[in-house]
Amino acid sequence: MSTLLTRRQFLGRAAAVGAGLAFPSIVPARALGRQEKVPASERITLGFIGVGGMGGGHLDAFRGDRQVEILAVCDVYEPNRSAAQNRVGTQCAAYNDFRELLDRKDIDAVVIATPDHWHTRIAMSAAEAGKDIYCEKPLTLTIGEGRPLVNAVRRYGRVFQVGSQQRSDANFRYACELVRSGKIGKLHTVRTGFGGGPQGGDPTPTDPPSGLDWSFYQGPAPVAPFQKDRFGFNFRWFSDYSGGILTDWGAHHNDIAQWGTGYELSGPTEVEGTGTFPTEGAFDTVLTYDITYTYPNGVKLICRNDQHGAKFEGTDGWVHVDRGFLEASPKELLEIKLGPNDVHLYESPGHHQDWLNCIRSRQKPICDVEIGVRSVTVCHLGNIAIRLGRKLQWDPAKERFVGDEEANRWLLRPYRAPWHL
Amino acid sequence: MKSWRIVALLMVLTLPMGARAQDVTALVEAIKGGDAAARQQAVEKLAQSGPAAIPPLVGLLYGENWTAHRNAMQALREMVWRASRPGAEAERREVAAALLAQAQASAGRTTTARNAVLELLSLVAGEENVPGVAALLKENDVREMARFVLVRTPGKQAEAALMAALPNAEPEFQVALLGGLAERSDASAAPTVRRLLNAPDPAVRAAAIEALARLGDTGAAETIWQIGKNGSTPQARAARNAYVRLAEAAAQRRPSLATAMFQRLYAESSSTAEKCAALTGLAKSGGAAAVPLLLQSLNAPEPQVRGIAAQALANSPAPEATAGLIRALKSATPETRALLIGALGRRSGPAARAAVMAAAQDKDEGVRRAAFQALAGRKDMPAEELLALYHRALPAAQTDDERRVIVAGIARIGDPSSLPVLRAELAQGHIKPEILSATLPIADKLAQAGRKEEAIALYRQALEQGGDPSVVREAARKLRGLGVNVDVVSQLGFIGNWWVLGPIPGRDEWKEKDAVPTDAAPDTEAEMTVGGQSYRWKYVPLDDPSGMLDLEQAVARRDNVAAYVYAEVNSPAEQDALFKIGSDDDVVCWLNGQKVHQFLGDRGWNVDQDVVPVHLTAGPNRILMKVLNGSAQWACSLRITDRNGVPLKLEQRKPATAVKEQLVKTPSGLEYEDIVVGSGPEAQSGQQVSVHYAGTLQNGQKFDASRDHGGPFEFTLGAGQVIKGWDEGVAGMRVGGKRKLIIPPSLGYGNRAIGPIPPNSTLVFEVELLGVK
Repeated sequence: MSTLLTRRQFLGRAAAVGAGLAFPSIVPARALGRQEKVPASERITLGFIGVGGMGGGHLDAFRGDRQVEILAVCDVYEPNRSAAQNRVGTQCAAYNDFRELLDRKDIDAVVIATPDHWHTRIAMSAAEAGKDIYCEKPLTLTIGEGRPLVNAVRRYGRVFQVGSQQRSDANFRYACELVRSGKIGKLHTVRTGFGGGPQGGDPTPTDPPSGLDWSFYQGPAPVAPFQKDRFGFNFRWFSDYSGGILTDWGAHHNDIAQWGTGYELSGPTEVEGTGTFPTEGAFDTVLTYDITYTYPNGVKLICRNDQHGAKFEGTDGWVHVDRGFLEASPKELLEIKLGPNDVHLYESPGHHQDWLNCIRSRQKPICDVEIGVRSVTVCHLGNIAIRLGRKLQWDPAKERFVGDEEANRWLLRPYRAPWHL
Repeated sequence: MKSWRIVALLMVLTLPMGARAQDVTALVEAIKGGDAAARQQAVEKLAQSGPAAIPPLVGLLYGENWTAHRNAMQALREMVWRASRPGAEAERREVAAALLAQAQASAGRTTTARNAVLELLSLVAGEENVPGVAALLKENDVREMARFVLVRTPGKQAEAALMAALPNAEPEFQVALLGGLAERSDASAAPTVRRLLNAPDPAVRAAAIEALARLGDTGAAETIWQIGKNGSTPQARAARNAYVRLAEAAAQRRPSLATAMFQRLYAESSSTAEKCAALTGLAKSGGAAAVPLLLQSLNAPEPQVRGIAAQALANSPAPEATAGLIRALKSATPETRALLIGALGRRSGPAARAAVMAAAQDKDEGVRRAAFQALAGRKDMPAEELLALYHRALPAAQTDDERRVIVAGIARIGDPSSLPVLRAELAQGHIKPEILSATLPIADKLAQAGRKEEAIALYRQALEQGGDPSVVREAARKLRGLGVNVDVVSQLGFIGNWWVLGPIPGRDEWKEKDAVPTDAAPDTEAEMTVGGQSYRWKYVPLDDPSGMLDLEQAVARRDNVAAYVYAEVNSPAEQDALFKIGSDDDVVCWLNGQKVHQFLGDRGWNVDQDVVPVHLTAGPNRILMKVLNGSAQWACSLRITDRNGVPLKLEQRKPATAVKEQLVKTPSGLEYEDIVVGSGPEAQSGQQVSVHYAGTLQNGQKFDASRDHGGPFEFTLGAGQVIKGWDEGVAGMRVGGKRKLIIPPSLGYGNRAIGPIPPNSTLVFEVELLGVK
């Protein structure tokens, strides 16, 4: 568990306020973070789309929170849907089709925790329906989904939190603050990693389980015969639905790399990599990977399966951060209290709470949609570079490969009709 | 798990394109199963074997040997990835043609496999493949993937093929084709798409609307508006969504048209989301013309619309926005005033500044807070003026939230003139941790100005009353920096001498039962067996200035584990006291065999999380705590105070005899190990001490020893007469004790060479403390 309010957090918060970043709440302050005092009429009403593993977890976390009221759940698997509905109570509606949930005018905001291939479409529809959004990482399935998603969110003025919750962890923020304040000297290399992907999964086609709307589950993805691992946690090892370990975990540690380098709203300009793939079983996403990204300032991001967490290396030392882990060399780096002229990054009071606060203040949360898009784009670039086996030049402003139209074919995988981006 | 490198191989490619037929047959046989290494190699070779390998590989996609299926697919994918490299045009054409031929052949083929082949083709298809693929648009089983290929194929021919299929397709497939044209985003499709705005099928009309929005066809805007206005059908909403996007497209070429479109949408829409979209667009395209509508929207019934309007006004480049916001203040409700002040805070100029300063004295607390926040962010606000305002406002503040905003501002400036108001608040018991935290930057300023005594007093106050561990740590560090010796642990009544036992696997099971007896003093020398595993108590002296015993360091960095920690304190008399306990996660505490407290649940550690009234007996008191860890950090702390919260400085039991393998590392980098803990008086800074010593290099080579000089060595401790590692390392020893010191160069002779000692040497000393005076 993380420690409570620290002095750094307190001053950081003060600094954020002082910098004029905070925009006054549009709901009276008594509704902000004071759970027991929120009258029913001021609670944020939520709908949950996807209530399996991650979605069920979010549901349970919000269920006891008096700042919110859960009005509906949606899942294409009936047992998930019923279980979620039962946990919330009889007043909670349950839907198979997310569009029916989005049609409800009394729902302020939605939590999206479907498999990755559904994230963008559902999130765009939610924005168009005027809902604020919490969407699980990895935010997109392909690079080309990113810009339309950001545009839709901005067009409708929505508050959007991406589920890369490491950004709300003080260790990760502090590590990035040290790097961005120059405490390790001039940054030259970032090393990230998260182990290899799995080989396996039962390839035998079977009938889908009863209660699963298999066609809806596949949605914009290509049609495939049902194999049991395509549904549930293991969906992420099928390239039909996910980018595998590189997006599943890259959306955490490569996101931190982008935060620490200060390129979180942009990206690298060059990428190359190697990797391996399964030779049996049903899964088809990368097993091992060794990717090198180059940023415009020359900083290298090296992402390998034999590394873990995010390690920032500079001319005067390094800082290495992972979940529940923070080390540095020289170790006195970790004693540094950042001063007024150092870089103070946005401080989140917790990933869910930050989202709820921003729904009220209309601020951008700690992991806004643009950040989520940029971070997962880094991961997609790695996947593409491994497959194409050549060094690729990337233009982060235009979000296209430079001088390589064949690589640009990878930007978007057309949606299966009638779904469209 | 077996795996193999693919891409590295491409660089050492030796196999020419177009392997011989019998090679391919053998390779295809090899990927079906059997030896994993051979299978991997075969996949690699097949991927480089060119079009000849495509028919047999595709053949495997129709069978039920899933390993063969997986490897055939992988070989085909790699072949396609390879063929799509720049400059390999001939190879790309060959592979694409072979794939298309496979997709076209339907006899005996499964739809799934044909579609899989088309997906592969989509990455390499060229204009030359368009006629063949377009023909597949007529086959129901594969038309969707044929469309997929055409959407991904560059060039006008693919575009034309999609358009040509449009008029005669059935409605469901028309929707698909329209989606494809939208995704290709080639504006030349617009006239063809527009014709379908009048299609009989509503789904087709909606798809056409959507496609025109994607294509940025502003010429269709009016028609789309007519379809969308006043409707609540999905089609009408799609039309209004399209209208917003077309207005965005228009904003680049004709801002005035865009402004008119957004204004119209705002006026006629009843949806909050659409009003927000209209205002957002308007603020971007409209300039000064947008200001009146934005001001008017500050009174909209929907809070979201008001928020968007205020934000847009804050960012508006039009100077009129400032005056408008100030005018609006007069009649606004407190909630809206706070919103307006936030917006004004972000606008430059003296008028905006004056309005925000006036709002700092508003009668509504929320408005005042908004004003303080806004002022802190202004660049045109001199620090003295801001401070004067804070100093007036703090005593008048009505809520802790308001005090926090003001104190945060004071902390940011960090000026000694703030001390009287801060002290007054402290005396009232308001937001103590924040106020003490705010005194630290002030103390820094005092120290810099040479007012050391005043700075020390402030740091001490924060140290003793700060509560928050990082405030305490920071204060302790500053005090040490000023040469003040602080022993936070004993000053604050923390237990600093623990015996620790663990890690015992499991968490939930240890919530109810215990692995060690809780009713008697443990034998800290004996071995314990729990679940077949043997454990020993380990002595861990505490160095953490916030009193936290870090169990990750002391025991292990493990999830779902238990540990016991034990200490003994000597109370001079029977007395009432308070145990102040902190833990991460669960904790149970026994005093003299009686359970006095438990907390079961997840939490992060902090000092004094639980306060438990206890009764100490005269003489030794046994304290046992069980600390369980769920995940990540693991820690505990205990301090003992009297019932008024004043720390009790009780004597704590320390190891009586020789302690082995207790290498302690201090923050400076010094490491030491007590070989014998003495029983005499403790060596303290300023005293004259007498020692015997022997010094060696890390390689074991001796360089000096007192016995070689004939007698003990005497020096004044802490006076800089010896290397730093000695001044630090000998302090705290007891007479009769023997300590091993491992001294890094920074605490030794640094980069100087001294006699037999090379530069940058780590020094190892054994020191016996003979006497102090």
